[in-house]
Amino acid sequence: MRRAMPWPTAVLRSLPALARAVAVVAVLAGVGMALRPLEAPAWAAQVRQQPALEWRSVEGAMGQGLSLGLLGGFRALAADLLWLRANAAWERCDPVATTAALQLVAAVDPRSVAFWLNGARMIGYDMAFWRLEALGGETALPAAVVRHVTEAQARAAIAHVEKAFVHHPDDPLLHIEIANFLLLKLDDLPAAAEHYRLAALQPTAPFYAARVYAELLRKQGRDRAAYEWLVALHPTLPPERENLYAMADTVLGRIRELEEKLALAPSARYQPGSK
Amino acid sequence: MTMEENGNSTARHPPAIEIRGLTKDYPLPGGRQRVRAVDGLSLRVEPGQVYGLLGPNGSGKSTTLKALLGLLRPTLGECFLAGVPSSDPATHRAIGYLPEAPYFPRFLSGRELLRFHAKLSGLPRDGREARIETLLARVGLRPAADRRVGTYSKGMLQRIGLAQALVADPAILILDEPTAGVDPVGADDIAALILEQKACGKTVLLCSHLLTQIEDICDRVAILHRGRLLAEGPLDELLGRSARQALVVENLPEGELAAFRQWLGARGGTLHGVERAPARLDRFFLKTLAQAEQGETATPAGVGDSTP
Amino acid sequence: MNAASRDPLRFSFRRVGVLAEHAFREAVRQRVFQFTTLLAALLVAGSLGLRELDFGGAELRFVADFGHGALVLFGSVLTIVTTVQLLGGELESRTVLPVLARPVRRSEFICGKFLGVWAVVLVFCAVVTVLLLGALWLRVQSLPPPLPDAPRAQAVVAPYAGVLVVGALQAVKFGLLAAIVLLVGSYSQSTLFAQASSFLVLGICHLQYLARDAWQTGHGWLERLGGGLIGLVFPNFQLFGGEYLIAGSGGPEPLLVARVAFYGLAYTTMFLALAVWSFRRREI
Repeated sequence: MRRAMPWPTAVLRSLPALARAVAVVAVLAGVGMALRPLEAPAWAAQVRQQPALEWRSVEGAMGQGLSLGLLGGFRALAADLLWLRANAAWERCDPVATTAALQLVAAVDPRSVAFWLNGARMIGYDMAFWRLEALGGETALPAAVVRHVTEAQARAAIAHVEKAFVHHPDDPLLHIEIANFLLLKLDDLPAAAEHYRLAALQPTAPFYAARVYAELLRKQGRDRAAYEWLVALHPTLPPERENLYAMADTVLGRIRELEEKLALAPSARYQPGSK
Repeated sequence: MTMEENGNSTARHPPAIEIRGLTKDYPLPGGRQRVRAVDGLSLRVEPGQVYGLLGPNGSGKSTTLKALLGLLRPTLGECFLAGVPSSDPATHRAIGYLPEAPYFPRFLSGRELLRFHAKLSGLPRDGREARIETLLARVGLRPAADRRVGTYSKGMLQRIGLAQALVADPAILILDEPTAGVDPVGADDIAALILEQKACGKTVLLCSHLLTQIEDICDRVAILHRGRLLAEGPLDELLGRSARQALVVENLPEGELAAFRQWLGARGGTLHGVERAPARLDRFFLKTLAQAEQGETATPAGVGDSTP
Repeated sequence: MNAASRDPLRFSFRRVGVLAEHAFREAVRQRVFQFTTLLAALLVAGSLGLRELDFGGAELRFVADFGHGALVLFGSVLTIVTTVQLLGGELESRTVLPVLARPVRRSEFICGKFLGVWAVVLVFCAVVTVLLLGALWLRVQSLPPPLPDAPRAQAVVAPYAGVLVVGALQAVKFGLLAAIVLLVGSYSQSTLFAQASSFLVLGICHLQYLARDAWQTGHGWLERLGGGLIGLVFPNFQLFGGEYLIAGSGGPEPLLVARVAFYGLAYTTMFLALAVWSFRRREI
């Protein structure tokens, strides 16, 4: 048997349900506030270690099914899949698609230094070659055109790597990558040397970074500076019998060469083990 | 018995089931209309009775049972189980419930299902497995005990449902359509089982559409229609047959019938009607099957057998 | 009815255990558990097949990412679908009727469902974590030893501790998710609504940090209030990602891990309590 209620009665009867919903929200909000002291340090640690998601740069890709990948821990997986997409575009020699995918990877999950380095190499070396091929090939083009394209891509690659310093300020490999572009593609010896110096100063720098810096100083004619740098370096190196990569004997040989070139008096020459 | 003695007796031995003024309204979508499923129902079931709750579809039987089991809140009125409000889950210690068209977790075997309900009811480990095996044998499901419930037929589901209702040896059985979808042999077996429980002093509240079955096993019935109680009482009283007797006579010549009527009238009796004693098809069916199982063949003459 | 029936029915961990065991058995026998576990395992194993990408030590992060993604994606699906099925499915199919007709409190029923689901999810997390650890170990064996070309050249170390921490925290998160789904299911009238709502809540919890930012940097009062409320009501699922907890080479920071775990357990307890409160009012 159906019975109709006047609307004021119906509204009054629905108030308890509304009150219950409000009570649930209030309780949960209270719990959230009470747990903020626990959450805040953990969240601060996460924000420090993981970069803020750049929504503007990934906005355009939302319609491509990236939405799900941006949810929380799926970001890393999404970046890995985007990296695969970047490689697929690279295999097709598609600069536009490759660049877009590389920028997305960096925006979604910039934690991987390998993505930054390999991406820069694609931009700086491969894309230059693709552009020149598209224009007819390096041998068929005027030198000015070749240089223009090569330098443009090298600068684009350097700009790409420089963005990584926000997330990896202490990584020597980034400095080395920039130095290589400066050296090989832009013929900027002083700038390249400076980046090798910055690389050598990082805690995890490879042994060769310091040696290359010294060589670049020598190429600039700054033998004195190179000598002082190597003299400061050699005591920090392990003996060659312990670590071939440190090349301590080679460094000592360079020191002796510079001493001869600088015509240093024997008493002023470097004595290994004296410090 | 005086009123005081009656009241004291009620306090010491409250009815097994008591419903007082039960009313249940359901809101309809939109919030302004409500449907009254049960309207002011009151009834009592004494301990040891088999009580039938009858009514067409939508009469409020299932709603009444759910209110009794505390599965929904009455809009008005109260329900009691042995004097304790039925909203208290403690009262469920004494209840065994078989829902209408029971569905059980498909992925459990029959034995696992009974074991789950036995554990939930607090049956001690000692004797639990024996109780389960006894029940499986009693409901005829021992061969299928290790099969998943999802593979059971409708009749098997009813039987395993009965078994789970009985697993804790409850004082009160609440059975909603216990023979729905069950063949006559199974229905007869279930009826026998109910009567066994009654013989053990259990109280049974039974909902059914099968009036012949209600008639055979119930002590009292209540008839519901659109949530209201239309009639309630002992079966004999309701059917007005307490003063009536049925005689089955064979080979009485037609001409002697008038003399027999006179003879009866002289002794204060009344012959209300003469008709051929109907043979019950269900009885003939069961008898035929029983004979077939014993290796005998039903004879055509058995068609005229009017044995009730 | 005997005198024992008149004793009040106190909350019983024994009954909760029976219900949890029943829920676990039912969930494990359903296809969704077997399917999601298999898919997650295939994804973890599939990451080993990507040998063209030779990043050395960074390749291990690739494998860990795949495993982590599989854990999060399929774990979330498993948690939501299983919880909805075990509560909403039982309500829809009415298999709950004979259970609630037993001497069982509604709070015991909800707690039993929760523990059963959480046990299933724990098994899933353990399986995927072990597979991932195995995949990482296999990949480490195939990597060449690092060149000692730096003063502090370090051998490639797989993030075993990080994987374990992530696995454990994800298990806590899935428990929290199960409690949320139980609250949703306690008042939902259909399993479809419960599943849709639960996935929506999952998305909100993963993006909750944006609401926090809106509270601090939003332009209008409505935006700030709404953001603040969402930021408080919904737990922050980003915290359970785990990678940020591994600071440098020192391994997971125990204090941070403990904070996050306690955060998750506290929210879980509250959502579970609300689910019990809601279900007690529900008419079956």
